[in-house]
Amino acid sequence: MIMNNDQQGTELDRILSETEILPSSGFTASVMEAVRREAAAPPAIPFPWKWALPGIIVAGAILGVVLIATIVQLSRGMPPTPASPAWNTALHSIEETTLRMGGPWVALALLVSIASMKLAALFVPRRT
Amino acid sequence: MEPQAAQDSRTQKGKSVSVSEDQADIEKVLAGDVSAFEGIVRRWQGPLISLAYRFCRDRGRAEEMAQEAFLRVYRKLDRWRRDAPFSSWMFAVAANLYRSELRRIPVPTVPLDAVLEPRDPRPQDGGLALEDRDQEVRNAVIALPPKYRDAVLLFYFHEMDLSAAARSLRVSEGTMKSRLFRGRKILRSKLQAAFAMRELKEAST
Repeated sequence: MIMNNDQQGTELDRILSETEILPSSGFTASVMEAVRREAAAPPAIPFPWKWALPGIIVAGAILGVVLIATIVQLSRGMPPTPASPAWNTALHSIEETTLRMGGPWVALALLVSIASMKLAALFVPRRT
Repeated sequence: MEPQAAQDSRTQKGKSVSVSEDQADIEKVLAGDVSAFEGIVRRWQGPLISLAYRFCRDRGRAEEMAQEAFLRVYRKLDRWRRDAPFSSWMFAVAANLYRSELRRIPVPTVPLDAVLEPRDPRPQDGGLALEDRDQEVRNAVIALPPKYRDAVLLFYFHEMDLSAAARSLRVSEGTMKSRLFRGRKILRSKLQAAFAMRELKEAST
């Protein structure tokens, strides 16, 4: 016998309205043991914002200044290069030091690390 | 969100769970009495395991998932806003965890059409055939695309209470309604074809 839509809907309702699963006898004890372990564990070490914050602020400020300077230069119709020779020399020096210290490799390693962390996070449940 | 007073108690499969009992235990836990959490576990273990079972169809795994859900509820207890019913918040936390667990280790499924293929075309005992079919329908729900699967599972878990299911999924009732409609439509079309085919095969043997 082929059912019509209403009959199928009712049949689906019946099948999917399942009865409750009863927990096994040791379930409560097992959960409470885990909860007590959790409560007894030392709190997670928080991110050291106190120490990291000055560095983050300084880096943000430098980035902001560079961005604003670039925007101002662009709006004046000038090429987006630093105007003063001192600024040029400083940038050259930073570039040379970065290359000497293997800056591109460090950047690549950082990118790979971040990508690995993101990939791992997809497979491991996040703990909050 | 429903006011707390309107949710004086919640009935889950015929059992009335008092909101004030939950509230009292939560206050104690937050004050440092870890053992008060046992009351919450005892009252809600059935529903949380049942919900997990609907997601994974494996009793052992369902208990593991429910235990992790209780741990997560314990860790986040101070984040429960008193304007929302505790049960709604707890089910939302649990449903979120169960969905992540299924993304991490999916339930082995086969394509929907294959799920409903008859295993033995010979006529069977009526009761057993019905039981088999019910199980196949439940497996077919698991094989649905996740957003429709979650909507269907939570709607039936909440005894067809659309707003409760929407709160557990943290979506609007409109979104819930449309996902549910689409999910049931996919299920119906697949089931219709599969059951018709089965009946034909059974009639020919």
